[in-house]
Amino acid sequence: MIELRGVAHRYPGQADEEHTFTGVDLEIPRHSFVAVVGRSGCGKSTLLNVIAGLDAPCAGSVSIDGKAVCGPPDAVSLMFQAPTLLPWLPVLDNVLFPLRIAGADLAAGRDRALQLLELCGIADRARARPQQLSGGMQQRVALCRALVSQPSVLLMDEPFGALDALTRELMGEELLRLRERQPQTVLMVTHSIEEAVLLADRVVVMAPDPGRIREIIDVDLPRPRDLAQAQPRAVAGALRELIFERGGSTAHAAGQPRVEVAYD
Amino acid sequence: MTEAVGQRLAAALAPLASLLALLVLWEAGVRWFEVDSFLLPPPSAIGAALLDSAGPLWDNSLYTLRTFAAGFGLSICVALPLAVLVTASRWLAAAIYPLLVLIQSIPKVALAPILIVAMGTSEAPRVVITFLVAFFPLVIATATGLLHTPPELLRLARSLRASALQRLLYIRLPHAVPFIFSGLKMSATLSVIGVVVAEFVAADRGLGYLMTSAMAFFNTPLAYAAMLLLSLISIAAFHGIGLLQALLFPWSTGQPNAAG
Repeated sequence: MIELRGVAHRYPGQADEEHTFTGVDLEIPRHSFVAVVGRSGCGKSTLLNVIAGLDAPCAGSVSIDGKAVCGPPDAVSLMFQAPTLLPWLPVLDNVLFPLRIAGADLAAGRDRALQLLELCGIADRARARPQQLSGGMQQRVALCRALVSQPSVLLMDEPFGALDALTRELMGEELLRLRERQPQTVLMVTHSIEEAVLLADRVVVMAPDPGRIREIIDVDLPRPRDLAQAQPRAVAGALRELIFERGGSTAHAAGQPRVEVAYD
Repeated sequence: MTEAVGQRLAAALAPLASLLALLVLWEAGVRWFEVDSFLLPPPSAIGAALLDSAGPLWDNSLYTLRTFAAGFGLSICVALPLAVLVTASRWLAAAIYPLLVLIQSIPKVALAPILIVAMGTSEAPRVVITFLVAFFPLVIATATGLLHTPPELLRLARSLRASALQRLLYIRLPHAVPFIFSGLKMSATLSVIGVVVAEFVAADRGLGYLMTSAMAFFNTPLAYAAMLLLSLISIAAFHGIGLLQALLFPWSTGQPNAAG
């Protein structure tokens, strides 16, 4: 479980009142899939970086499975919007890179890496260079790299944001399929409401100036979901209104806000 | 397909044709205006000198190559660790960088006679002069490559809890490879210049020495022949380094089809 208590962040040099985000309380249960949505500037990427231990909060506490986060924690993998593959390594070695850094057993990892590539349908490109692959394939390699160390937590910062709509949809489905084999706790920052509705068990809506949590919505719908159906569309509509501050209340400072969406 | 081959052949022949035209023009001009051979020898005289003095030219080339290899090698051995040091911390950069710029600002040609006096007439001062001429661009190129590592790659490394040494070995140095190789190319051609300067000032062998002694006897064709060999050494080093890069680090040459 990931727990955030009164977490605030500001960049060095920022004034006291100019927080990137402030007063963030959040609980992410084990093996759940949580999406964070919000307009740009609401600090959602920074929130992810704080949980990843790459940025330090200026107030509050972050813990993963009861252990306080201070520097990048074990068993947490990070995935970025860009594939950030190493151009000098073939695909397979890119996937194995986290194990190499950790000094782990590469022989066992190789089988796992090939299996992951197989599941993503790019096993035949294992010896190719990253620059020979399409953007979607590169991001699949990045996903395999994030999963090769069998993390219990997967933090994704707009992982499919740079992909075209079709590839993006396929990647979402692949991610869900991979999670069936090895369920991780997933926190995904996205700017796609649709993606959040289709993938997440729970959606955190953030608001800007200063960044804060506006609402947390449970998406208790059966899978696979389809935005052509009425219920997911209703959730997407509710999220849209929350993001653009057309509905709901902004007075949520006390306690953990939770909105139940009335399905139909 | 045959059309493409023809085009490539034409592209390869074009510089050869222009070179040939230049040589013919040179030869004809020198003969027509009856220019003295010690002022401007015709290509045929240079060719004759190459053949007549093949033995001495070969021996002196080997000698020059030896100094070149030692000076260039020393440049690599010093420049790469120095670049890593300069980029390792702000403090080290502040401590070392001004010294480097100071060394670079000294005209090495002016330094050559002083070094010869200080270090004697052995091989050592010539290697040192070559090194001084050649090492700076390699430091700068390597440091640039190390410093310009994409921040997202370093962030990835940080999220994987990579140590500073791992970041250097697995991220920063590989990223710097293309920069290092362009530095090596510059440094190699400068090394040839360094060797010749050193041999001008004090040497009893080598192509630089051969040139000065040939000119002392107005044997201009021989001096031209030696100069031609120096150019060949420079060109061979330049392309040899490019070839080495393509063989060892095919991904670094910017050709996406260069898979390993």
